[in-house]
Amino acid sequence: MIKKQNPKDKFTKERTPLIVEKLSKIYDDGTVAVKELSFKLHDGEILGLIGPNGAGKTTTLKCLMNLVEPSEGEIRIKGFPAGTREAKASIAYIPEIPILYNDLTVREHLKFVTMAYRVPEKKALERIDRLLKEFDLQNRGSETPIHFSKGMRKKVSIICAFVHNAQVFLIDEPFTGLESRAVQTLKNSILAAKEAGMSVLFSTHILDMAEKICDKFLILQKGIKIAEGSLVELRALAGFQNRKKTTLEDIYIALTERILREPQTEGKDQ
Amino acid sequence: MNTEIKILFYLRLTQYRRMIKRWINKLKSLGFINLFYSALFIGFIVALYLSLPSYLEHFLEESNYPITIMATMLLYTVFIYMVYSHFVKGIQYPPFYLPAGDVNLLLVSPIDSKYVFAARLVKSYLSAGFGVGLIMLLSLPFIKILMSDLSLRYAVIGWIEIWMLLIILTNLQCIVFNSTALKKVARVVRLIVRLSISALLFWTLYRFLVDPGFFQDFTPALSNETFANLVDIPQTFLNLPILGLFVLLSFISILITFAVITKMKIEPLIEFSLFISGAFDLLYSGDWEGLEILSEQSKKKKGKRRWINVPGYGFGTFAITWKAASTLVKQSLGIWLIYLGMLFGALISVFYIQTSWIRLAIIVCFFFSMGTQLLNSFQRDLRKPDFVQSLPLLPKEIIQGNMLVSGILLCVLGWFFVSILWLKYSFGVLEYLFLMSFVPVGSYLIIICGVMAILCYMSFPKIPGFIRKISANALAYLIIGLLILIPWFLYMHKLPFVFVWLSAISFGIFEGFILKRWLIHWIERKGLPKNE
Repeated sequence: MIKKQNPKDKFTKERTPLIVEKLSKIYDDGTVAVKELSFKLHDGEILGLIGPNGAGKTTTLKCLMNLVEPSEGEIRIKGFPAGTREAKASIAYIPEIPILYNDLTVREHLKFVTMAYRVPEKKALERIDRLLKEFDLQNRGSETPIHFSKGMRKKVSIICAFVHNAQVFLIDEPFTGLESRAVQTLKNSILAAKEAGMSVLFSTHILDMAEKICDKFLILQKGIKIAEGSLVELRALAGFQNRKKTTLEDIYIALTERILREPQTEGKDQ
Repeated sequence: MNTEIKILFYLRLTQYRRMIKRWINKLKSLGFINLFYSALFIGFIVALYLSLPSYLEHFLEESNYPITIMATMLLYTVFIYMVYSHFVKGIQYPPFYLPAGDVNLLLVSPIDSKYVFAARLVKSYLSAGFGVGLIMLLSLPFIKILMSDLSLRYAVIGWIEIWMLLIILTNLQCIVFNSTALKKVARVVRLIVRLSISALLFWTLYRFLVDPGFFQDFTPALSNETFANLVDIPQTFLNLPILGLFVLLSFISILITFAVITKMKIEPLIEFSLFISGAFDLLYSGDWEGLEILSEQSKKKKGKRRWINVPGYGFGTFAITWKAASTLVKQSLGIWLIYLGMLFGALISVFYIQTSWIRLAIIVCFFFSMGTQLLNSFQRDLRKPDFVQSLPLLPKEIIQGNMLVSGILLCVLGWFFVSILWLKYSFGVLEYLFLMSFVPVGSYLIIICGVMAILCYMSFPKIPGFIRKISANALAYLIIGLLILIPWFLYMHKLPFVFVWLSAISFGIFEGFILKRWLIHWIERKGLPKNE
């Protein structure tokens, strides 16, 4: 059962950006998407959520956004339960598939987002102009995204996330569909957010990029956490402590294969 | 006004403003000639519609059937069906889905999700009101004939009541969708109703075959006191002085159900929207890569793969035939019941419609509707051009494969139809064989006409969708009409039976050959239409 939230307990003194405790999501047909997942995200930290297709990465992010109702567990964002206005106001979400309103221009999208997140108008305008320029969309602001390519839609979606005062960024496959320059810009934006003390959680398949920018990694397989830690910690966990040049990809393959070989260890946090 | 509502207002107003602007631009881009043709076509439809009430009046004068009783029974059936369908629909679907834009931008923002939900609910109420109003307006001339003493006041009250009923049903569907216990109840209700209807259909068919005069026994039965009382209920109800109270009660029911659903958790609805609205939006924007990702995600929920795999061992017509057959076989029980219902309707028309051309038109209409239903998979192929059309298949192979499967299935249904006629009328073996041999030709012709209608409908994306759809279907009926004209002409001139059927078959084959050649030529020249 989902742990009942006491209204009086809406806010706790715990201000850790993100705390997930024993999160599980089981769909109606019995499919276990996520099982007893627990982790923390600290200030100025970038956490990479990695795992094969169907590992439960997107479901986890959607649970954090309260788009999918967890079957069990507790999620706190800046001390507030997921789904509350305060929690939502602290998060910026970039979905994997960038779907926008076909009837709003790019600028109208951004105006709407700044209104929803209560960003003062002057500040909003300044940010909109800067971000549009950074992502090479300064000449497309008055267009509706109806004929935009997937990459351009993704850019708008990213700008929507960076235009307000988010403390935690939840990004689903951020680099998919983007051209090299946009990847670079996004990478710089993520690193700038980290420098400013914000926290980022993103799911990805692109392991070399994750290796470059993440402080910590969380490996999921079949909805279960199989490993968590920094690159050095994961290296030790995979038995590569003496091989300093081992990449995240090597570690990832070693750990996931080990789990496949030893099914009895599934479900145990490493 | 609440700030959150203000923001939602801004969003919706901007969207509607832009939508209207786009419509105007679309109309401008149509050009004078297209607008002229559209106006001409709409004028034709309106003229046809206006002339219908006089035909109905004439029909009522001539017919001996207790029309008022039958109309009332039909109304009761529609009412019961509406309540039932909204209740059981709640097992799988909420009354609306939130567009993907709302999910990605609105629901993740600090705006309270309840406002988003309520705004969407109100929009669906307004659409229902508009729909009911439009239907009432269009059916007014017919209602005046069927219920001559109907005053405008009653019509308006009736409209308000139906609208309120729809709102309550929408709310009920929402409540069922969000309640596990009610979902279980709805599943049991659905099972009972399905079993009862199937049993009733088979029993009726059996009785009909055993005793051909079976339906005629119903006519006096409909005139008895019980039915007469049932018919009087709406009339008595309309004359009740407490009608205002009933409207008030309906209003209170709406408020209660609305209050219940706004207090409910709305996560199930959001979860549903995640998998549905995203797919729709991606489908409209032609983002097939995105659709595939979404399909992967939805597998977790649905537990099975949606995409159809073309087997590696065969391409061309065979692959498409295999794919179309697999899709058709997996059609839901409801669709199969629709086929059965259409066949039954065609049978009823054979036995009870006296005017032979109307009878023939109804049979063709039923079979054409079945053919259109069978071509749904083909339409889906055209709407997913990046998937099917990117395979190493020729456009004509895609068409042939789909036509073959749909034609065969329509033919099987046609044979079933003819066999029942044979059992009923016990006509000679020769006639039976002729009819059976004509069925494949007729089925194939109907399918060709259906394909042509679909291609025409999808090939002119600049013309508004509803005009294209109506024009395409009108074209198909016109072709079928011409195709049956020659055998009909021969039949009316009392030519020998063998001669009539041989002419019909050979004419059908000849026409089919020409039409197919033209169709393939057109497709080879122009290619298959892309999605809209």
